Amino acid sequence: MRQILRLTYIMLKGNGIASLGSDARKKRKFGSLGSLLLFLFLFVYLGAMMSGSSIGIYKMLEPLSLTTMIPGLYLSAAAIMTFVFGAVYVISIFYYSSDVTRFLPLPLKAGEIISAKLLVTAVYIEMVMAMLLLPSLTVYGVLSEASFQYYVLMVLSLILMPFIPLCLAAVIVILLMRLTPFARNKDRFNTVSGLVLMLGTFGFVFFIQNLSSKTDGDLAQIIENGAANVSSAAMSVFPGVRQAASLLTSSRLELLDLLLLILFVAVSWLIMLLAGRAFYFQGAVSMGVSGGRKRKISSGELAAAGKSGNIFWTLMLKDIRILLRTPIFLMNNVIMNFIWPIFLLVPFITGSEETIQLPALRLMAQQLNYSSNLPITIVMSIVFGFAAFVTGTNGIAASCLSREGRLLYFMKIIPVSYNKQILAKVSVSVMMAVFGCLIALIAGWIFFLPPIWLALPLLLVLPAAVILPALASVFFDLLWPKLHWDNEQRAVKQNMNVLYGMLVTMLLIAVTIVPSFLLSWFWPAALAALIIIPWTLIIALFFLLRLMATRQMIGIEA
Amino acid sequence: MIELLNVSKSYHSEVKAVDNINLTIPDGRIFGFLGPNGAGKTTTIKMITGILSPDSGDILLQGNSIINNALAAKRCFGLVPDDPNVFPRLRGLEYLKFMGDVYQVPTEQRTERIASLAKRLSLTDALGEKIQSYSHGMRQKLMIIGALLHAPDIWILDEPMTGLDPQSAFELKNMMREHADKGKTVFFSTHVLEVAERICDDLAVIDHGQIRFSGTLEQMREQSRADESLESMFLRLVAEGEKS
Repeated sequence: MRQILRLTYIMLKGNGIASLGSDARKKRKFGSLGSLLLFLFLFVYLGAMMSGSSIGIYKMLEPLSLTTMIPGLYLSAAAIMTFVFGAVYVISIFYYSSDVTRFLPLPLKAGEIISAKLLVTAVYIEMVMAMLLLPSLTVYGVLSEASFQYYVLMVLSLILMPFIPLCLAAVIVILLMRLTPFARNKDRFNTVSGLVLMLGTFGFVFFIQNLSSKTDGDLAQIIENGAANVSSAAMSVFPGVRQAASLLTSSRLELLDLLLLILFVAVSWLIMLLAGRAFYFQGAVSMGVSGGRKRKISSGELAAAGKSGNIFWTLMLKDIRILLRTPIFLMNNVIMNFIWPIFLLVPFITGSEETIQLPALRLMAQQLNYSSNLPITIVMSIVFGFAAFVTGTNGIAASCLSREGRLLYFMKIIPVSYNKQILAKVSVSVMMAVFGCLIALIAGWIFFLPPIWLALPLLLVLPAAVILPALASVFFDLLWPKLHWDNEQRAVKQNMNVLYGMLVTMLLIAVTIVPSFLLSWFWPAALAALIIIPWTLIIALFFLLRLMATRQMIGIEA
Repeated sequence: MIELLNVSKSYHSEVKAVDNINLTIPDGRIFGFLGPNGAGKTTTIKMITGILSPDSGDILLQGNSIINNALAAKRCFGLVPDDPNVFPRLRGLEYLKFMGDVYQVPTEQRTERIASLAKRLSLTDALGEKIQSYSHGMRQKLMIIGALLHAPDIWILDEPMTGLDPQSAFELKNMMREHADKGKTVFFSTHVLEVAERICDDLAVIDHGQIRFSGTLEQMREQSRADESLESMFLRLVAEGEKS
């Protein structure tokens, strides 16, 4: 067991989780602190959303005497999510981490490696489950005035119960990976699974929020006809869920249910170990075998490669291809440009009757008096702020050199000026943000239906709004590029330059919007402020970049 | 032609990686750069290619200073790095198009060169695939094609034989000879003394950042016993350097 725990720790450390506090280097600690803060923010954000919704659901089910169904519903949902998420994590940790070839020559038993990997997967799953279920079940405990025993059993259930769907998912994945070409394309799998995980998490939160905004009658119907059926199915498929739910709803300690839950966990683990011993290692080792596949290129493809292209566009195209084809970059730098409008609209989509809902927001927008100055200034400022926010948070410019990593030397050997190379990188950030903003603007236009003429000032505001944050953010990466990383995650997720880029973006938004509001008595003057201020800053930053780029790049000894 | 003029480089102001070296590598020659691990070979190559800046001295490539006229100097050479893991998510052909555009290789020459070099190195069938699916040797071959796409006056190779199969290594040696025979310069670093012995016109031995010897193999033999192998001469030079 000691060996399993030691291996688990090493694997977690390799993945960056256990490294918090153990690394003596200040810089690393700072980066880890950033990750920890991000995690805490997400924990608090999701926790607050889940707690609020859980209170709503409890209050509505209370008059119908259906509150005892709540733990069962939550645990069933958690079991289904663990099964789906677990499958994704198992592929990632068991197959893509490529550490198995390093562990195999060591004097370790097969079962120890498999168990350690299962524990690593469980840690990730338990973190997600803690974020989603801990607040909800705590709210249930508080509102139902549960005893101390409830909270102990709640923690125990949350730790034990996920092992059952997780082991089932692991067995299925191990068999699929050994017997089929399933998930052999690592990049494609990482992209799809990343999207599934993100949409799954937020989908679950929105679903719960949506439930809490229903009327009592609707809710009772949904629970009786829909949720109860799904819950019952989940309890049949995943043994242990029923026992865990029973432990949380019974006023006395159901010892038999607790023993059964532990037994189910032990049996699941055993089955998973047997399947792992028989099929895991061959499947995992074959993942690392390389040796280029062959696909003959056509004469057309060769001719296309032969055509001379514009250098600036070529530099941009290289970055765009790498951004789109590297799952971590795609998720963190590209998709973020398109997902913000959805995030920002969530409170309105899922809003309850007391808060503003989307139709009310639409009505408010349509009732704006566009012949007066203030509403026009507000709309222009919102568009400026939104576009700048999208650019500043995509992190493309703020991590443009860090993403190159040890390949930064390539920028130094090609006969293209550093200024041009960096401007090409800034342009990629701008281009992605423009796509995201235009889609959001068109969708917003169709939904809110403002007067056509308003498009002109908004389009005048947009270019500076996306160029300024990108140009400002690039300086951080020029000054402190993070080039020594062993996986792409560190270049974008654990890169403080991205955070600095966001902060400076907020500052630039304020610097531009505040003067425009001071001139809101005459909207063309506010528009002029939204154009002149950022463009002045852009020109200043452009010249500063020309002065700094070559000197800084020469100084970076990659 | 490559000229290194009183070039020095220290790391963290303490370790002198390259100590006041002078080298002239004329056109039409294959120049082998030899030295034990940590001798200063890679640092020198990094300075020649502009990756690192020398603390003092200058480096001229076809008369262009890599410090003061960097873009013109960079146009003169093609580099095959020691680590060929470059842009793994690009396809082979996309990488070559990138190189062709960056070095502004005219359309007609580019297509012809890609086709002939890829055929010669048996890489044609893999050019449509992503570089990450390539083996080490295939990546090395792609770097060779990319470096030669603009027919550079100077071809610099850092440990080029690593990972190549015997047939490709043989082909590479032929290509280096052909490049030099066209009146161009080939500069390569290697640990494999047999390769240097067989194909170099000139060579230099660097150790502890200092040039211990520079000249032809014959000159080296004249300085030592005539029947000595390059390996023996190399080991003796390095040992003498350590004593002094």
